Amino acid sequence: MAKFLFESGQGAFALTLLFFFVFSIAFAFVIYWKGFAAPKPSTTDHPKLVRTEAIWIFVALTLFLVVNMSSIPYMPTVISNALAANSSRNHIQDVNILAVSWAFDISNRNLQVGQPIRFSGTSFDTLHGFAVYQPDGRLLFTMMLIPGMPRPTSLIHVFEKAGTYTVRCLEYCGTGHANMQDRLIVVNNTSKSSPMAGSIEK
Amino acid sequence: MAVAIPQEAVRGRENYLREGGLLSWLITIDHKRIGVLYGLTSLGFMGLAGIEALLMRIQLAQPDNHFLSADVYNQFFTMHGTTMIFLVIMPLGLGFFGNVAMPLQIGARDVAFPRLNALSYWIFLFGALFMYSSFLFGGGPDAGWFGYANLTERFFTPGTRVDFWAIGLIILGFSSILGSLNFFVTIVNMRAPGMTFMRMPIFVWNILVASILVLVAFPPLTVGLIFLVMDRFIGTHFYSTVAGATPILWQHLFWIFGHPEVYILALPAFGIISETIPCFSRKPLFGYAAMAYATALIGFISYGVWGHHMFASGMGPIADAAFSLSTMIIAIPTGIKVYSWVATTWGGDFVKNTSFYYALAFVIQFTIGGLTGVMHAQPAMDLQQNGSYFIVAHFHYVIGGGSLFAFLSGIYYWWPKMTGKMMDERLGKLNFWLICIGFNMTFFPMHILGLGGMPRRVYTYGAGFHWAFWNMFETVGAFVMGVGILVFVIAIIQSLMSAETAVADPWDGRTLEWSIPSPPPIYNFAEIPHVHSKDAFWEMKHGRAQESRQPAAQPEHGAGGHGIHMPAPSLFPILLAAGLALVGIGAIAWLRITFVGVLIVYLAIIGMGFEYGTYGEHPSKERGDDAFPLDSRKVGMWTFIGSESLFFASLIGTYMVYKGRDLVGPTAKEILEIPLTSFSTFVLLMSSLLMVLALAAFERGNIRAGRNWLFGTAGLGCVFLGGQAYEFTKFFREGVTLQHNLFGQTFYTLVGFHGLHVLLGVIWLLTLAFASFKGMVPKKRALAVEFGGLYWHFVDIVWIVIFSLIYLMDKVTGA
Repeated sequence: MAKFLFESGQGAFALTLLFFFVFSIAFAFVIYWKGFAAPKPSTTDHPKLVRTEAIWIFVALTLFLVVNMSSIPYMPTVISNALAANSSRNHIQDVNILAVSWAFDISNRNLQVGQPIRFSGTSFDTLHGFAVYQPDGRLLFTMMLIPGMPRPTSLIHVFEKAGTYTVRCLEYCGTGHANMQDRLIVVNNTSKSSPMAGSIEK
Repeated sequence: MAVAIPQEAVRGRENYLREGGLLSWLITIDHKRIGVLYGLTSLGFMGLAGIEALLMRIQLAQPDNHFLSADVYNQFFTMHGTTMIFLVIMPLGLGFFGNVAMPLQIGARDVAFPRLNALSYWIFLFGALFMYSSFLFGGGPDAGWFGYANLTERFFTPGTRVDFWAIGLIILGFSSILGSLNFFVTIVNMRAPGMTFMRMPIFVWNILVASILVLVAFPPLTVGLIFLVMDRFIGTHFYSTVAGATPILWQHLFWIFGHPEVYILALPAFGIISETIPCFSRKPLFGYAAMAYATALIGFISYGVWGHHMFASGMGPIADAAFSLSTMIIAIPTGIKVYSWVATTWGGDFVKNTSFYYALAFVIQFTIGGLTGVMHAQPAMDLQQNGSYFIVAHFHYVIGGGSLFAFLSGIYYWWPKMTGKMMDERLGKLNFWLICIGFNMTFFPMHILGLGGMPRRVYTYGAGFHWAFWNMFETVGAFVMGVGILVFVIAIIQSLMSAETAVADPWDGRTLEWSIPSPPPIYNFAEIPHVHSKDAFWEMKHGRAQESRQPAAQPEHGAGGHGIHMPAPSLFPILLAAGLALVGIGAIAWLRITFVGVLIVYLAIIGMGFEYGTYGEHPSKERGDDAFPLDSRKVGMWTFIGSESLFFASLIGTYMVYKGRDLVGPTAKEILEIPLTSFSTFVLLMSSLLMVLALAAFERGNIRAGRNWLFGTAGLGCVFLGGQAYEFTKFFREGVTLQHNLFGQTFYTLVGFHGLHVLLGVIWLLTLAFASFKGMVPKKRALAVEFGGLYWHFVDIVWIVIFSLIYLMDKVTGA
């Protein structure tokens, strides 16, 4: 479930709808039955409502903390660090990206499923983004490519599905921004199954 | 029930809208008129931003469309964002509602500084026109409303577009800071007798916190913009990568401003909703204290969340987690507010009018926007939506479906009070349903498009992505919304043409503004009410039986409408604002115009300063109710100093961030001279001593001695400036110029801006000294000297900080 929440790309929207479903039912109930259908004019704060508010604050705070803490292992930077620590250096394939208005120079566009890949990117001129989209169109991950930084922005990622991944710039960079696209071809690993393939699952 | 209400004490019904001709609006300093001006201007700019949005929607309706070119689209999306945020939502929330409702709600006759109020309006208007005039000279700004460096550098965006944007925002920043300072002082100092902080209407609470946010948030933005202007005009490298700097500095400065800015846009809306929902549910607000504390809490936390705009920049897991947590926590006070609105409607007896409909729609739509916001607080989730249409949906639900709907609710709510006329309910319901349906048609599908991968800020998209249907759907929705806005404008015009006269209290209101006639007389309250509880006017009308003998709010007897002196109109605010606009125009067109502008600004300030000198006291003393605990001007001066210190904090912060990252020397360690600067520091500290003596002399009435001490202070200030000039020339000769390295640019900017403040102080003190020759600074105006003194001491203290942090620290740690 956590995987759906933090990695599918739909998690945020699903959570929003879930919260909003409860809220809209409660709100409609209050508005219709308490106000429109059977108004009961009252002038004081219900002690019951005050208690509910205290409970509600506590529940919301707990829920937020739980969601927040449980999301930490799924943060791209944390995943990257874990992958970097778990694998010896030669397992990670380096892909270097240099963004120039308005194109990407990617050192290797043909990648393999299951292979940890370190994307390290920087920009030659203005701020650019490096966003990889899944074959079905959903955003997979994104990086900001910043010129003049002492180190390139980097992220380690393991592709799980073969296909054509669209690359787009997601930082506004002028008139060519909309057409600043590229693609990565990810194929199934034919030689041997990578030892790193399952590491992200846990 | 029938108790004496103040409106019976009012004699004439002097309508503030009709007094004087059209020209009198140019020199008006009446807060209600300034509010109306703010409202009209903002609605005008909303029309412009709306047209830009509709054109963008036409362009996006079909894939591979060529209705607008990429260049024009970029100008439109930049100016749509900038306009909606800086020229519509912010001035509507603070400038319009703050002026129209806030002084009436706290039982004041005007704001603390009526002329400053006019000044901030005129600066706002001229700044906005200045920015928009960019379209006449080679196209509108096109670097995004966020203006991410280093796309904004001269090399990447030649021409004047970004110049207009950056200088325009600096000018608008002056307007916001002055306006908020005014509101802050007004709320702190001018509440009606008996109105403690916990008896203030909740709207006033929200304006108070929003004003504080403006005062704290705008200095970093101003500093960021000054760096940008310096980069573009004199070739420094604050954001360009040439000298070892990084464009990320802009993102930090901008979002330290930018996230509080979101709450500056939202808090006035929260306040309006917290007034209209109780009023039309015919119940008191649920959890008043919780609401007030939640408002303050939002203000505090909003400074610790800016990093959530930068998850993609690779700040590292610890920073990501911290910003993520703080962002989730800020949802708690916001959630308290939503809960309280719902609980307020619990068991209500609804008045089903347009204002209430807008309020209900606000609660629902704001909650959608708020919830998606909480989801973005998770870096794991955010990085799957960052830069997509999902984000566009999120903030339009917060600012459009949130703030804008609240403002429409507020306009319907306060319209009778403002104009004395009612708005047509049938037209009102029609425009509500059109805007509400159009809004949701336009922005809800953006969630779906965003998850489907559609990126933001693209002028067109390919046909192969299956985004066409929802985009067409959104365009239709946008036009429905546009028709709704048109109906709203028709409703306004129809109401203005109607002869129907609103009663003083059409909604059976809870707060003091409903106790006076609609529209209010120029002096608002014939007699300043005394407040004994929150919801003062409601208690007065419907108070419980045991209290009806002692009305909750009762007029202060004795004044009887006599002797109300309202301050006279003034020409100087508009003059000063025009001067400021000239400074900006000169920077782009012809530098000599700048000097003319500076001269006009200086003369207008002197004019304003001594305008009341001819007839004695400041108007705040003439209000017949000098029960204020403090002198408003003193509170204002301290507030200004607080805001200024954040300006210097941003400059010092930048110096610290860039310290030790120079690619070439010489840097601080090699070049700074302690003995010389120690002497300058000593001189500056001594000048503070003379300033104290000068003030003491003026307070004793010894004008001559005071004048001499003033000259002495200014003289020592000049010596300090001389030392600085010597130091700068010496460094220049050694090759450290503004463009040379990071040390050079941060050092000159920080120390130079401090020097500029010293120079302004010297001019201020000399002006006072020369004015005292003409007898314009008598003993009873010694306060004028005290303000100059406060400023002078502040500048000295800043120097002590700069001296220790920049000069001493390097030498001590380096030795």
